[in-house]
Amino acid sequence: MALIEINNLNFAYDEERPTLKNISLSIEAGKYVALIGHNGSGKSTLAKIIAGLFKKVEGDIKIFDLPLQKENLVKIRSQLGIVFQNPDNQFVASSVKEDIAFGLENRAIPHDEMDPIINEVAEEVGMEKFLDAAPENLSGGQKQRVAIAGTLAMKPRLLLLDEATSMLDPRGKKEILNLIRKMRKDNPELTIVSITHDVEEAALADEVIVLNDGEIVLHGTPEEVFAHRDILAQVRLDAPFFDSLVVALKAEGVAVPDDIKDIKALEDYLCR
Amino acid sequence: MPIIFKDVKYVYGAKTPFEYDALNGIDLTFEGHKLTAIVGKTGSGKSTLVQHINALLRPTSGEVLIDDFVNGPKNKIKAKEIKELRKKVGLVFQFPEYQLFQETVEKDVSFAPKNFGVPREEAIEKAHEALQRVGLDESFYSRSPFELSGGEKRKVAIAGILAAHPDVLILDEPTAGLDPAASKETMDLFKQIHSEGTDVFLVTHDMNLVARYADRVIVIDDGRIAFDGDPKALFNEDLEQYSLDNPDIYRFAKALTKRGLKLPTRDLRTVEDLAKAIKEAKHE
Repeated sequence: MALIEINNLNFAYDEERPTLKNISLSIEAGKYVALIGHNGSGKSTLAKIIAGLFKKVEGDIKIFDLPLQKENLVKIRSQLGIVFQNPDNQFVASSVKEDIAFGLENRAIPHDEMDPIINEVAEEVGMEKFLDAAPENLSGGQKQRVAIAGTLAMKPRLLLLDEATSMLDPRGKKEILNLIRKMRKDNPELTIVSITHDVEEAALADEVIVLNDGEIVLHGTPEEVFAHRDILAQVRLDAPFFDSLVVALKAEGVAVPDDIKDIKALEDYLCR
Repeated sequence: MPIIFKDVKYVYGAKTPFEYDALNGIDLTFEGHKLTAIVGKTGSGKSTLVQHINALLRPTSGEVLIDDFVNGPKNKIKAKEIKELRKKVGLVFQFPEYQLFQETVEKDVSFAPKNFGVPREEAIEKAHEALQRVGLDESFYSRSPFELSGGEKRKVAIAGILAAHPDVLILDEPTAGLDPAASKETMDLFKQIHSEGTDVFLVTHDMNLVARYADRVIVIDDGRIAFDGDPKALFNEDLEQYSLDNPDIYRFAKALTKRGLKLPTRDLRTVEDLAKAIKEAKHE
């Protein structure tokens, strides 16, 4: 079943400059989808629409099989979690435990039911030893993991990551990518849509959707998408290191067979 | 502009339970005209270090000489001298777009030169010139900085520093959160500004940027200098010990070398350089 079904979506903040033009896409349950595009391509707006943050948009949109309209918004929002870019702007409590509990409290989950949920999600994100820690003593990566734990506590069907790694240092970034891998293994039902301009991150996804000026220009597996280096360059995105190196090698006249698909295989091939 | 750190220590929260030594005896000399990268993991003290160069921080002990200005723990500095110093040393903070505050782009960018005593007309001229440098045309002048995209806001904030024409430019993670094309544009602009005679300090986690742009690299680890020298020499060391990653090109080059493919030893700055080196190695 498609978890997200979008047909002919159009959206504009300003009538003269449409932000999203005629978007159609469908995302299957359990997939990890990377939505990439340069600053201003419309990717965050698309994520906000999927998250049910706009009351009125033009097009035929179904999220969790519910048409995107005012009376369904609460139902839609209750089944998804969002993690934003800035780790400091989404920590609402004075300790990790209370921060994770915030959403549960909002839903009036009885107190004795909360603890096991908090422990479970804290363990999932590897923050079980920091339950009493205050936000100022956590790294950016740790704060983002707490934010993810807070959304997981709500048992969402969809996790939206809106540039969740872009303000982190390399170590924090790695923590989040490892966590995404782990969540996919522990919870294959969970659908993850990650808005990013980190192509190395996008290369880990099942599908990559490339947005440019409000339109979808590429949609496919990372392998399919990153083979289009010309289009990526046009829309001002880099290819991942592996793909860039293959192109540079070919330009130097070093043949690279098509069945070489990753950096390890390339290393083996060059050293054989 | 010569900048000299003499046994600089900096302690945050002195005499509180949170007392913490951010810098622990830093000796450094910056002379000549280099693009210097300052790297280190989060919390290593690299931002603390550069904030001594424009006297945002005063050392707990030791001193920093910036041209003829002395930033020491106790010396009296007049407000006027600080202003002079900050005119010479421009600092672009991390996520500088959070500091935009005026109602139009033009007002925001012309604020610094005006603040440094440049007459209004001329300050506006400087603002226009700086906006042009960062790639924002006149259609932006009267817009509110708050309605711009993230990348455009960043450009406005950078223009605000450039408009004051500093002799030294300090950049704290200037590309964090930017898309790849905007990162490259931004860095190419700084490289250009550097080649026109401005000293540039680049504080970053991104080792790919260091490989591509830096002439000298300083690694700060636990408030001490762990490495100071040529980027290429650093990348041939074990970077794990400083919790840093190798740049992609060096990581791959190392892997090949380890398996017996002899790459010519020279500066690798781009993927194209690496491809050339591999080609030569294959033809040996």
